[in-house]
Amino acid sequence: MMKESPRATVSSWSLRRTLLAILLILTISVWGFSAVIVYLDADQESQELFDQSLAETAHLLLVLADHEVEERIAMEPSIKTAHNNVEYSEYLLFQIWDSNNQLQYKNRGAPDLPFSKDGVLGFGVTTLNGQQWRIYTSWNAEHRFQIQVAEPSSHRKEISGRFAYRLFLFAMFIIPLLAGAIWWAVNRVFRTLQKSADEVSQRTPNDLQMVSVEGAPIEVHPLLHAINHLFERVSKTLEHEQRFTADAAHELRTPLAAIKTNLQVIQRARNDEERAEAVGGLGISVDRATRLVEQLMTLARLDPQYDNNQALVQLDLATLLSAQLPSLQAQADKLQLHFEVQLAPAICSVHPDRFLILFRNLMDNAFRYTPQNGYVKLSCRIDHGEVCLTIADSGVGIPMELRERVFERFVRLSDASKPGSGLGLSIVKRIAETHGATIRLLDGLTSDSDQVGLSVEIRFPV
Amino acid sequence: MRILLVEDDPQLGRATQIGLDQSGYAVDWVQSAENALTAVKLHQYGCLLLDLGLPKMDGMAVLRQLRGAGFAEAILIVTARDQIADRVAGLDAGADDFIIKPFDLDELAARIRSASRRASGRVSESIFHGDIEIDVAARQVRQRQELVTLTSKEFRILLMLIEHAGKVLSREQLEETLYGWGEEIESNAIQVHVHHLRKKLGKALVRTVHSVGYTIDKQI
Repeated sequence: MMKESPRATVSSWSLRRTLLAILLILTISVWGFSAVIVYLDADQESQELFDQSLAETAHLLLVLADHEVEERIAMEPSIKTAHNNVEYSEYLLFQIWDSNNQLQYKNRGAPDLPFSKDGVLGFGVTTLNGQQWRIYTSWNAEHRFQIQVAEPSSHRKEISGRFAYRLFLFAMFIIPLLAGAIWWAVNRVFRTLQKSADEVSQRTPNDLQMVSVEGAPIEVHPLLHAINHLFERVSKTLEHEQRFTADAAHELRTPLAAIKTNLQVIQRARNDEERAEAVGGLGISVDRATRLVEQLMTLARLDPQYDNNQALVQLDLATLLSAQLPSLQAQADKLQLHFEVQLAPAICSVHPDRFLILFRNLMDNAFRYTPQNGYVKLSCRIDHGEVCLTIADSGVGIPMELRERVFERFVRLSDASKPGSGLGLSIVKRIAETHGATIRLLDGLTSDSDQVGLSVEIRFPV
Repeated sequence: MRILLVEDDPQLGRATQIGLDQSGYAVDWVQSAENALTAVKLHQYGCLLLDLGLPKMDGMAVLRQLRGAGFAEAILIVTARDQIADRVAGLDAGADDFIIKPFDLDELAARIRSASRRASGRVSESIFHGDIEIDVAARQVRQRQELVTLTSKEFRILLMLIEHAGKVLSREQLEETLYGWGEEIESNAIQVHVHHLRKKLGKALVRTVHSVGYTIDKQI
């Protein structure tokens, strides 16, 4: 178990901060972009309006000037400067030229040179006194007079400037508001995530109840389901472990009790005979406890969670088994059993160590439960595309109705007079499973006795 | 007191049998429930030690069957099952005590005494009969405060007769208390033991009922 909280070490990437940043950047840039577009659009629009009004003013002045110039030329042919109350020069300057390029009329402040030096009609731009002016040039209908009006561009700039200023003020006001709203909304969403996270983080290792999916956003459901699935598997493993430990402790009690009782008997022994008997019992009990512990360790090591991924090896079972034959034959001779062997080449993939544990367990059982002069037969061959290992004996056998149960841990069929841990077949089954092999228990060999015997058939995929 | 031990583990069964014999009990040992039920029918046991995890038929079934048939003597469960639920079930089914393996032989003997005491309605380990005091736990007998040394078999005969005071016990009944199965019984053994008892504790204590057996009169 890690002591430090994972939250303290892993803080490099936050979904919340990323989301906040993306939302803020997106919102501000979209807003800024549209502000620029609005500004440009408004600027364009106001240019057109100003131009239109400039043109209108020009035409109006032209009509007025037409009359005035006619009259004035008749009386006093000199350049007349208009005297108006309104100070036009700040807003508008104009010149009226005749077809001979003679300045006929201008308002105060207007220069004597034409605004438009090249005489282009329509709108244009010029510089007067270091200032930029918008100009408009047009002839009257009879083509006798030409009017040139000029208006400082700064007016227009001032208006779009004011517009931009307002947009900026609005942005200053709206962006903090938007940021606040986004921050609040994102936090609100993440609070529901935090709730689920808290629910999980508050768990103790013993509390493997399902995390409630209710109230959590559907996006988190896959994660919660995955966590719940993990919880389920962990609690199954835990349960399995606890049962295993309880079973192991339970099974060790009897040999331990035998050891203790034999010891006490030795301490109080009234004669050598009694002492010798108790010493014998003590030895057997210690052996039994040792064997039980060994088998438990074997079984524990075969648990999937301790799987050390021992490699599968392609080999010929016949070769592997041949190496075991001398010791088996010796064992059979000692027990006065007929031991028959038929090994045909059978290549398949096995974990050699585990396979030998399986094999020895099955051979032990066969030898143990077969009476003197009985038969034990070992064979391996290829059958229907599978490698088939069969160990048959003429022993006590297993009643049909118990053939499923014997693979459970600590199930022993015979009375305790036959030494056995009750784990052998559990180990066999577990090893077969890790090889993807199937086990079948069948009636065994017939012999002179009326026992049905047992035949264990294990089929390995090639 | 004769005890029936039902235990399927050979080493533990044999050791318990010898150990209890060392403590002065005659112990018959069987390894299966079926044999236990047969033995109970054939002999009179003062106490039954029952393992629960027996092959084929479970110890709990034996317990229920015996209590159902009216077996009144003490039954002690001796088992590896240490769960509270198992103990409760065992005691409720009529067991007098529940002993978890591994156990101590002295404690086992004490629990046997305690259970059989309760089964016979006594409250103390000391039995008084006239001027004789028997300390069952210490297996000591005193007469007028004087320690009287008895052999194990003499002690058992005396205890049996005093526990059944007023009743006549046959020679066979007394032999049952003294010997487990397979122990050789000398033909006049009981007579010899009674003779020694009379010599040590006075002639009047044990009365011979001709051709029936022996008795110790009830205290008035």
